[in-house]
Amino acid sequence: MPWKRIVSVVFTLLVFAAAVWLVRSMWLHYMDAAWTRDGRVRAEVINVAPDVAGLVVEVAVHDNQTVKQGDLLLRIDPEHYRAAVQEAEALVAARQAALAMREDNAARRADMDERVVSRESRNDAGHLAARARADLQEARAQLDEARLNLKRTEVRAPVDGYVTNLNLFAGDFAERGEAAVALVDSHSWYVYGYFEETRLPLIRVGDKAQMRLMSGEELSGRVEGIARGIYDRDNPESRELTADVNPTFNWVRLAQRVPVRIHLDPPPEGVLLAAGLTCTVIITPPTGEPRAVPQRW
Amino acid sequence: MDNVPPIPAPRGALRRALAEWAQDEGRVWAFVFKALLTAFLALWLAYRLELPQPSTVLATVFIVMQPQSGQVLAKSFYRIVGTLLGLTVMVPLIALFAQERVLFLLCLALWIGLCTAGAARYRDFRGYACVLAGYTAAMIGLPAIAHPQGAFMQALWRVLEIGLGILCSGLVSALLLPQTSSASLRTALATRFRDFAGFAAAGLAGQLDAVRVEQVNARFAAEAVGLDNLRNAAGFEDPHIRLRSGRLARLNNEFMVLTTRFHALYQLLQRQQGEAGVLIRAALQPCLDAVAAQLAPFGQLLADEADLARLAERLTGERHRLMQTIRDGRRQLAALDDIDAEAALLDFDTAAELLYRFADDLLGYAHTYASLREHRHAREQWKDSFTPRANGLAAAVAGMRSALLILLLGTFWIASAWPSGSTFVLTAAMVSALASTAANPRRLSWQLLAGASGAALYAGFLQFSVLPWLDGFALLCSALAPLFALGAWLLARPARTGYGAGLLLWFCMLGLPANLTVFDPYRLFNEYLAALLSIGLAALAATLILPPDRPWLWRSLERDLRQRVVFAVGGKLKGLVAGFESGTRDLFNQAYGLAAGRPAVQRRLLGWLFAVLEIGHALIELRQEQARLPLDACYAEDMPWRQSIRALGRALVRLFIQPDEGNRQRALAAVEQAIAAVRQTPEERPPQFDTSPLRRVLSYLHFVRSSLLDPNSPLADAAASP
Amino acid sequence: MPREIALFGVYLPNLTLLFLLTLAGGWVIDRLVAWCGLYRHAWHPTLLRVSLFTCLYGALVLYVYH
Repeated sequence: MPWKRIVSVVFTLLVFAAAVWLVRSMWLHYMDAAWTRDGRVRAEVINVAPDVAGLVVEVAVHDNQTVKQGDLLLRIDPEHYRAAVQEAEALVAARQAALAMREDNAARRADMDERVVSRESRNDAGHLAARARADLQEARAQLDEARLNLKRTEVRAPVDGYVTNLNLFAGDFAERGEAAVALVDSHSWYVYGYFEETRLPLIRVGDKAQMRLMSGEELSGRVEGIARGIYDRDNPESRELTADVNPTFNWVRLAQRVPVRIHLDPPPEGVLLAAGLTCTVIITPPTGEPRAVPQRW
Repeated sequence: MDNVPPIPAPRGALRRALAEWAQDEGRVWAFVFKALLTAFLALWLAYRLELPQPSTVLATVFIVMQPQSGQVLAKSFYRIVGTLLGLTVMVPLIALFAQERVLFLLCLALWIGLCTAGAARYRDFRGYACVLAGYTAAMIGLPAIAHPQGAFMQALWRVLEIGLGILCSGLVSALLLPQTSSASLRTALATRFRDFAGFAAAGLAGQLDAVRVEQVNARFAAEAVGLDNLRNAAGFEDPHIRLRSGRLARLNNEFMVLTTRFHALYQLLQRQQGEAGVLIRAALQPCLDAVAAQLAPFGQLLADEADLARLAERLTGERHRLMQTIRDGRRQLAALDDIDAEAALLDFDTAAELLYRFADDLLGYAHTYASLREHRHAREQWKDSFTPRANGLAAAVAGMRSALLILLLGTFWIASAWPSGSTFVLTAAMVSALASTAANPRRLSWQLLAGASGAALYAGFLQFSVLPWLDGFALLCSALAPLFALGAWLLARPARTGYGAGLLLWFCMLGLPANLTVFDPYRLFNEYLAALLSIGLAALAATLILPPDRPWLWRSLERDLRQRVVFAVGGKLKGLVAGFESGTRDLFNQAYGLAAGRPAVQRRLLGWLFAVLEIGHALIELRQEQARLPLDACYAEDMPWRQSIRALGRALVRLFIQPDEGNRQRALAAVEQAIAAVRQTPEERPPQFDTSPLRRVLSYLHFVRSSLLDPNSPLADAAASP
Repeated sequence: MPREIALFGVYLPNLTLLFLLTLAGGWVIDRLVAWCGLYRHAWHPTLLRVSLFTCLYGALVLYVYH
């Protein structure tokens, strides 16, 4: 009977030890690996704003359309700007005529004897001619600007990308400098992985990263940078710009999350990326060997 | 079944004292230690996992915390069931009535009333599921009145929190210093059989007094109910018990039949008065002694399965000898010529048959008990179950009371727009549901109130004087430990459970600091004011609105008890014995508990229990006898004796529904007529009870007659005082 | 192997799903072992059962993740 008992105790303890070991390796695998469920696909979103104000006469794209750099996005009513060009042209012509007159006067006076025209009058004629030249230059510059404005009535795509959330229609009035079209840059995909601070020592710039979208597609990339600052929620600023420190503290401390920026390799064929998608990020060192975990206790 | 370590024999006074301490106080302290460990583990996990309400986790821990691990697991299981049920009801209700809070509150009150009624109806673990279905519904539904858009996520969080609490308490209570339900089940079975053997041996030898008979029978009835709960709980914990579940249920039923049979025999022997009685008893005594001799040694020791197997072996051998002894006694009695031989022989035959059947039942019990040794056994095939019976009226009153309370408090909340109104209503729902499962709702409510007041004081003290000085989880634990330890200690004392539950639950729900503590005195005062007021109102409602420990209820229960005879006459024959025995004892047990402190009422109830069990059991045996009759002309359905037995059944039903002198006389006339009819029926079998069905029928009829004539029976009382 | 799975639009860690799976499988195995009567030879049956369950779960998780 004692033997049987010893065997049973030993067996139970063995199974228990196996369970403890398994739980430990599971814990290490889960808690001490550089991975997070909290990853977001992001992209540079350009808020395209017209350079000139005016009525929108044509929206040349539709929502979610793919555009190439330089493609026409929208056209603002050019009539005002065409008129402005004509006005500027007229001004240039007038200034040219004035300049010609002043130059003629100045040349004529310069040729005359000092006894016929006073030196003052001769100098003045020269200055007036110079001024008329400057006026002409001003008018030419105005003409250039008016031509530029006319050209800018056609708003073009600054980069390759996708029009998104288009909310502008022919007949709207577009203000200068006010964003009218959101354009997602199609060459700018990246991923932000929000990693707990305890896992940061496991991550270095240049590490390989594997992403899995919620829909199951796999992406790959590498760590591009680690954010060097997050907001301190325990210390927002008061209105007097002094610190407003929370008088209490958590009983159990919780790890903060720090964003890690991951550069994406070109996504595989057929994968549809959209800024804001959720993904899981797993980071492995380039060698494939996991990094040593710092002793925490 | 042999995995429980044997208790080593202690040597020396110190060791014995230590062992005694470990048996008694040690268990309580182990429980307190486990409760503390569970609470802190659960609290840490709740903080670590950033659950929105750590209070729900801890409240769950203390709700399911029980000294025995099987009970923890059973309660946990039913807690999950109840939570999911409450959730399933609440989510559609929120979807339907999110804008109409009056209608919503009406539905909520209705649902909580239903749940409370269910809790009062099933007083086992299923009742517990009902309590929690109502509580969860209130817990999810009430905050949803203010923020219906977040209700679904909130509901999911609550389920996660409850799951975490259950996981922690289940693991700790099953793994650390386990006090298993299976061990206490074994002890309870062994103790019960020891007590019964001693009791029966003394009874057969004629050494019992009436007080002891009553006490022991009331205790057996209570234990039969308790044992079935224990069996259910142990099944959750121990797969070996689950494999034996059928046999254990059967054992419990056989024990109930055994006690009924013994009591019938005992009563019959008691009724043998006068000169004839002495002669009959003298003739019977050798037979009684033979059975008593088998039982007597078991009155001294806690028998295990092997002992019972030996008993079974000996009883099998003894049966023929017993039959021989009975025949000798009969011959001896028949030879006497100075008494009415016919009547005396009838008495003798009835008693002898009861004794023989008692020995038979004992043999069955011993076989079933011995079969527990085996892992698998043919006796496991047992379909009949313990059927709890409750008074529908009491359950309906409990449900109405809590629905009214919820409606009243909810109206006040809506009218006053009190920020703590949801605590006000939630607490009322919880208290009335918890109280309805208790034997004495009024006392439990007042205990909860006292406990919650203590929790309020401690929470205020903690928030304003202690917590501001503390930093870190370890210090927080040491600040909480005194309260938790006190609460767990109270929880482990059956008479003071209410104080412990009130203290722990209302501290955890309202006073427990969140991970990032917010010191808000107004909120704390408001919440505790709401909770205490609400518990007070619930306690008042339990005291004032038809409290169950009043005559109306035990009279109603007494009526239900008598109705069991109707069930014995009219119920379906399959599973009738198990249903009759268990249901009757369950009813009696409730009534007996409610009449605590009133010995006269309790004695009267006990009298009714005996009368119902005796006559009901005899009627069932009569029905079974008729169902087994061979195909002979003299046993045909339309024979006069069978018609007269049917008439007797009807007369008895009338008598037990309306016990008065007229009905008793009618029943007596019916039984006399039936006896005469049976006697006049010719039968081609030797007139001995092991061969002749009519002989056996005659014995049962005679027994019914003797118990109708018994002057100590409550039937005679009822007849005397109409 | 993915670390989580989207179920009806809810993003669940695989651990949860595996836990439910192990719960079902473990229950069957537990009943089987109890039926064979192996637990009666154990020293602390509850500890053994919990350890067995944990081993099952751990092995499954590590297998799935590697």
